[in-house]
Amino acid sequence: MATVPILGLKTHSQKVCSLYKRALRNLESYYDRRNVFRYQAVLLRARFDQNAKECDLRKATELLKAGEEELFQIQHPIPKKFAQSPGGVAFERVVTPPDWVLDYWHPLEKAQYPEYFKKREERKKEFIAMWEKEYGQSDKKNSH
Amino acid sequence: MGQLMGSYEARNVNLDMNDNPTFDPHVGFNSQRKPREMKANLEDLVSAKIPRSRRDYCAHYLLDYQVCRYKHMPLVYKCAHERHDYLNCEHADYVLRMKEFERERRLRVREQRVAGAA
Amino acid sequence: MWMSSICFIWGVFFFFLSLFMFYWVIYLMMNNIVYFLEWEVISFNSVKIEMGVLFDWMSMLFMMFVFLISSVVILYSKSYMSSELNLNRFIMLVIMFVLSMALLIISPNMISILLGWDGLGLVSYCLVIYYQNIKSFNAGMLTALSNRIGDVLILMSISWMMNYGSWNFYFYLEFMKNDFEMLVIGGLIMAAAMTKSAQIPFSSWLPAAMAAPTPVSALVHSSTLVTAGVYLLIRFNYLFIDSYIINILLLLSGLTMFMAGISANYEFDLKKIIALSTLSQLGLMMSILSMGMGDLAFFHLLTHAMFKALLFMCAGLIIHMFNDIQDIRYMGGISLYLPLTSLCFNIANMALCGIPFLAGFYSKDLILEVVMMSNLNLFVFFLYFISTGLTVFYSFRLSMYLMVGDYNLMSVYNLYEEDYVMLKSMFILLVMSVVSGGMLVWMIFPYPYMIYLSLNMKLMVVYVSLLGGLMGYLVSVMKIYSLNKFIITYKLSSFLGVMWFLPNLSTYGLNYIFLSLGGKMFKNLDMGWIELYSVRGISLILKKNSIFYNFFHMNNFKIYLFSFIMWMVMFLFMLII
Repeated sequence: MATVPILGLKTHSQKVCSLYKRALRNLESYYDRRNVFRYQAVLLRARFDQNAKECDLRKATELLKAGEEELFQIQHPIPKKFAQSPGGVAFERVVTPPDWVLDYWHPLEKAQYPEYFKKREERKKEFIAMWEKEYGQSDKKNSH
Repeated sequence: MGQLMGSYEARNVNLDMNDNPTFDPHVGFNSQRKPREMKANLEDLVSAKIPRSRRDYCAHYLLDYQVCRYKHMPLVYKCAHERHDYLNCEHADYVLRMKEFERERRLRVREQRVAGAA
Repeated sequence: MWMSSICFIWGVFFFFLSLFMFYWVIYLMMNNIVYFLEWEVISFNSVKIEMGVLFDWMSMLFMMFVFLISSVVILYSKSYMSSELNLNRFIMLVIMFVLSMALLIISPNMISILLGWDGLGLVSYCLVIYYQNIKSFNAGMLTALSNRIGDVLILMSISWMMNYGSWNFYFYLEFMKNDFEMLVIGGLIMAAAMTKSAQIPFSSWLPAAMAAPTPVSALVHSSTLVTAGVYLLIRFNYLFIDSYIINILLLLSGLTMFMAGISANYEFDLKKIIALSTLSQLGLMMSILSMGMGDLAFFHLLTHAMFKALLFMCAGLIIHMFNDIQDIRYMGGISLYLPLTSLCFNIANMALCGIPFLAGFYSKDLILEVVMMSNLNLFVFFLYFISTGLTVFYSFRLSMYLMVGDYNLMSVYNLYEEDYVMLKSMFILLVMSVVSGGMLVWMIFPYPYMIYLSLNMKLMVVYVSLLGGLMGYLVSVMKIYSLNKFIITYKLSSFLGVMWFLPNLSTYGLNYIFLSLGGKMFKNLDMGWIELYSVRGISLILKKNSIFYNFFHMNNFKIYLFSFIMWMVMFLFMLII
């Protein structure tokens, strides 16, 4: 969504949406049961909707800043994270080895899968061709 | 917490739980009091390897319990009767020591009262 | 074909080993025999260095329980770690761990205790970092360094003990009690046991070590590694009976009991709650040990091992069903969808709280009654009872979060429990956690404790438990209109939710200055001045020196002219004088 030439710049509505989502997740950490959470989420949405039609951007940024401050003061010390997401318990527990590892296999190991390794070099060339068709040639002076 | 409430009165007369009785054993009694005697031999206790802290006036029941344990191991629950006897004897000993403590405290209070009146 | 898998072979082997140990327990206890085997290495003057093995009923009983739990855990991990490619490595690590523990249990001299102790610390580090993500690495670092402090303290006590000529501490405990050196050794051993059993200054590693796989937590962090410290102090118990130094342990372990009980109420990670519950029970064991009753501490150690390992295994099954989620806020309705697991979980929880006639009741109730009969500070007394109430509080809260309510993660789900490999291992521990309390209370106490209490004091345990249960119910019931107790007491909840900031103090607080100093030294010296002077500078110096020496080496004519003039000047000088 942030298709801007310089990374890190966000529009006001993007910031408000981000604040709303983080506030919702924070609320979820406090109110476990789904029905209770839904009630509190509706109340939160009403708070956001009250100031949604603000035309004066100075007031809007002030409200946004106050909202960020309030979220920081209220944030749950043990937020509810999914296990495989960053910050969760099982993050990066199972890693798939990268593809270039296969090039370092011993020839005896490679001989166990002859069909695959026969076609591997051609597959690599095909991949490079597909990349260059999509994104164009890379600079010669950047590669060694 | 029982010790807190129980020793509340005793602090006024400087009586601590580890003190020995200081008065004559026959003060205030009409009949003769006999000193307590141990019913278990020292050699029996030593050969049964009973720790020193347990060689008190109830040690004969403890020896019976050990004999019964050896006979019935591992089904030691069959020795419940001997264990009950030992614990009853320990209970009687505890009550006796409580009464001695209370007697000591009252004699000291009386002494203070007599000294205060004089 | 499954019979030849490594888990099955080793699991069954350890199980039969534990049955063998049980026979030895009965035999040794019945005849009151201790087998003390010694192999002498060297003996001169008053120094006697020997390798010893001590078989008495206490070490046999502990080994029986350790082997039983490890056999159950290995069978369990056959199914839990089935998606693991390197299962052989895992089982090898577990076996190394069990062997280190066995070495620690049967050794009567400090050197082999050190071998077992160090082995435990190292292998538990390898097991904690088994899943190689950043969280596990940090947790492993914390575990290894905290245990390392204990290792250093034991090393120091070894060198102090050389003062007596031999490392068989068994012979010194009664006779050298009043020596200053023995006091120092006792203090060092006490501090070492505190690091291993995660008492207050060193308690941050235990909840962090939950990054390990669940079978590891069931074996290591519930029954074996953390009780190694308690076991060491039980062996040293006769040293501390009339000393003043043990009061420090009483205070710190009482505080640990209390802090862990309170922190478990604000924690939302399932394994961390069980870890904090372990910490609380460890505090209980250490505090009753510091009052001189080592056999009660041993009894609680054994029964606690049973139901805590069972709790961890149930938690493991639940986590497996939820695809690695450990947060209890995502869980609910376990009693409907996983009935056998919830059976084991409930019985283990009830044993933990001290519900009458389960395993935990005999040990916990006996401890509390003996505490009431003894002469204690009121503060410590309150710590014991409030911690008992807190135990029931967080157990009840955990049960409410897990059992009552409905599944909280998604709307469409399929939870299945037919994993009989895991369940069969749990059933063995279930039977033991119901039966072992009654069995042990008759066998272990040859000299029974006499308890004489008034009705209200006897029922105080019940009052405190009921109160804790009520609070646990009230905290976890959540309706639309209920107040959010967490937000209302936000500062207090945040303080208690991060374990009183003890992990932050032990890691950032102690290490920040040194690590930042090391970082500055690295930037300034290693990557700065030393790069300039020693990389370029040495070659420049050598080059200049070699140019200088080359002048002489190449037989420059200037040398001869210069030396001719020098000799002429000296000759004239000597002629004049």
